[in-house]
Amino acid sequence: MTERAAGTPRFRGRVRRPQVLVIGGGLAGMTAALAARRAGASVAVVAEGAGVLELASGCIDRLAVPLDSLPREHPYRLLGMSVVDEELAAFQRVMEEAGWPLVPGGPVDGGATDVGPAGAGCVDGGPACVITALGARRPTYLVAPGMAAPPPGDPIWVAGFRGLRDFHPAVVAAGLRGGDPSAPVTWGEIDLPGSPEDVHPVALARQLEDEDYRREVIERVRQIRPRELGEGATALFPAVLGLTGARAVQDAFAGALGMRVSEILLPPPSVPGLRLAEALRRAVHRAGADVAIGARAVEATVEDGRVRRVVTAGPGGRITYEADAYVLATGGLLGNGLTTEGRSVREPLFGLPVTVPEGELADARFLPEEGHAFVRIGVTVDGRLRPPGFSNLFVCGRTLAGYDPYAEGCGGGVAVATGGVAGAEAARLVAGAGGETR
Amino acid sequence: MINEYDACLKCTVCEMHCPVLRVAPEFPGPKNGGPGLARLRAAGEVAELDNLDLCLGCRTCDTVCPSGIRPAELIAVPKIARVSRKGLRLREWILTHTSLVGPLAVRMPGLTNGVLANRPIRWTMQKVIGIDAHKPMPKYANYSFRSWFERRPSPWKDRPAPNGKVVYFHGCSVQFMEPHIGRHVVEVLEHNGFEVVLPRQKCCGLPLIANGDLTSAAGNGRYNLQHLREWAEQGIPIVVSSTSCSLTLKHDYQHLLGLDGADVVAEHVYDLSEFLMTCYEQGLLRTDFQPMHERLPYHQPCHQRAQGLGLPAVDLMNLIPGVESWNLDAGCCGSAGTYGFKQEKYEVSMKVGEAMRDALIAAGAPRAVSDCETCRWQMEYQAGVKAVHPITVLWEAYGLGDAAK
Repeated sequence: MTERAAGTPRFRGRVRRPQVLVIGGGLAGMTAALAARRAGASVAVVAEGAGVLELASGCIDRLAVPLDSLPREHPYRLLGMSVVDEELAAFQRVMEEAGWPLVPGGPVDGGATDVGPAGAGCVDGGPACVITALGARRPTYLVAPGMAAPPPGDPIWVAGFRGLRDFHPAVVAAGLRGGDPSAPVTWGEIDLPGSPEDVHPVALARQLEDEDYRREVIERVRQIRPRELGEGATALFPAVLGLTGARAVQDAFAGALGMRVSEILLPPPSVPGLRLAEALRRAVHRAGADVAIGARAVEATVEDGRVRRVVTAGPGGRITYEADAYVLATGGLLGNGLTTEGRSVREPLFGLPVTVPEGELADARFLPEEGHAFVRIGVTVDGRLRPPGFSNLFVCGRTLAGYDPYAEGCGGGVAVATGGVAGAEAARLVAGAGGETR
Repeated sequence: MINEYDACLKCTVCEMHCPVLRVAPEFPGPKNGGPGLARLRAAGEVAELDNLDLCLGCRTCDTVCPSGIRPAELIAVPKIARVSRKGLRLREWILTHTSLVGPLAVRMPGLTNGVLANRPIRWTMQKVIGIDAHKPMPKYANYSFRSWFERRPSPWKDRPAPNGKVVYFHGCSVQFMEPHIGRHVVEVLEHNGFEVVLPRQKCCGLPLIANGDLTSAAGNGRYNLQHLREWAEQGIPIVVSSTSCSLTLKHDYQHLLGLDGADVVAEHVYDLSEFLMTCYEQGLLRTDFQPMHERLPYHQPCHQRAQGLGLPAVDLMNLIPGVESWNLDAGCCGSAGTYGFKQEKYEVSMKVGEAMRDALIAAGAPRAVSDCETCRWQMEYQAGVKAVHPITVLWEAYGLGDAAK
């Protein structure tokens, strides 16, 4: 900047200068922010809204199909599984420090050597599982506190709360029995204090953190608890046993009932998803990253493959961010990180090239085993997660091409692994620049 | 026709973050009361829902919506329609016109504060007009901020300020109840080489907006824009020390009230902490702080979080050697401006604030910080701590209080 006379405004307006700017505040973006902070960079996160993490299971999937069945352009192939597992372990450590310990189960991609602690597994040596509201066993990898399914064959009692949306203990029990009438699964249901007709899971989760309310609920549950079940049995509850204080609430139920307690996933709104999202947000705040939610990235300036600035717009005004490195974690078709017009798909912020699979994009069946082709639409990147021609932009999470979180059971793992790598790469670039550009 | 609210996927993220829904199950919630009701209204089927007025107006749902919908603004539609038909009720009129009481009150603060603290009078107020008797009314000061400002000489009176001019929008609470905060703002800005300009101004109008009287709010808005516009057009930053006022000036004048010139002004409006932190990042903020050795838990006002700025106040305070400041991250305080003073809403208000109260008590620090006056009053009332504005912490660290002695 040239010299100015005294008295002339030197203030440049709403311009902020973090070293790394992460665009997107979901699982991938927040993990990227943590990784970049760990590597010593100053970090700002901007996001249009909260991520969809709050709607998800609160557990982190890794991979539900054999590794060698994945296509060559799959993010796991770009990074290599050892990097993926390092990133998952780093994520687990950060969450543990934030007071939210996730327990890994065994993987299913042939190796199956690092089986998780007892209680986390679906079957011996198999993946960890959680139970859904239909009584299905859903495989996953990092299991949230109190969510691990009991091993098959263990005696189970499903407890329900009348009036709670989208939860019916009889349905869960039928699903768990899987058509075997002799399976040791029973169920019961209580009225909550005041017999409400319609109970919101988040409101109930918060109420159960209140000691008096909880005591009354536990007393009602104790009255219908099957006498014949002992300590080896598991009481399954809908996942509403507390929010931030869930572990204490789960323990209180288990202690009073004299049984193991585990929770069942509900359709959104997902209390376990909210717990994970809140713990992740605490971790990011603790790490010292700046998080601005409610501001959408609307404009980017790129010169010679180098992103110079990104402008966000929101109720707080238009803010210009001049960072040294940028991480794009704006999501895919659902999260508006990719937008469509007819069959053409765009990445709206930088205009990055989007890879669309050839042939039919959707299967006429709702849930085909091999997945829908459109799910693999995304931005293609190199091994350092940079799109072609860009030197200081790293892409992670659902914006990436080549994977199907639903058919492959890898959504959480891809978000965590690519987020961690993108954040670390961005910070490394900043450190390499030695602050010269600032 | 496709409306903005048709983008709602019913994903329920707004419900998960709504502070009211967690404590008041009878509240229809932002999804049903916002885009849901808007669809029914457009179809001519349902115009109102019971208990929709339990909305705090914290705008958390607007902030977290991943589809860019603003449920809080949709929730307000029936109330606005009601008020435009029938006008404000007496209680709402009184609560939203503090600036009419203010000039009188600062002349006889003892009498005013005595009346407002008198139990039989408060009981009568509750019975007759529904202003809840529990919560203490904010106390009026014995001088107004503007009278203090006009009596003092600016250090940059005879020479140009090295960093140029800054316009200060102080809002009602600084003018009549907390003029010391205004003094801290002015002295910190001057210490950093800015000349402070004080144009004429009225209440930003947010209490009127929150109570559904958009017509009166637009009147206030037009007055403020008329006096702020000339400065904005010169590129002079306009700083605001109350986060609700800054949100109103930045967003509501433009997008809710559609006022002429609001876009020009909004571009130059800054939340005070945002402005100072931006100055720091641009190398314009002095860091000649005295060490303070204090743990300072911080409560971020919903209306600052809604601006998508990060946590500038925490970052600023942590520049002071020896200060450890952190965001409590415990949600809305529940006060929500005039909301917590209404009899039928007092209980919900207090329940919403319990998470913040518990976090404050657990923090165990005698002083806590927030940029919003009604948040601070709620913090003091619910948790028994002393609540200060971040500018006061900076003012102390700069040693500006010592200089005045």
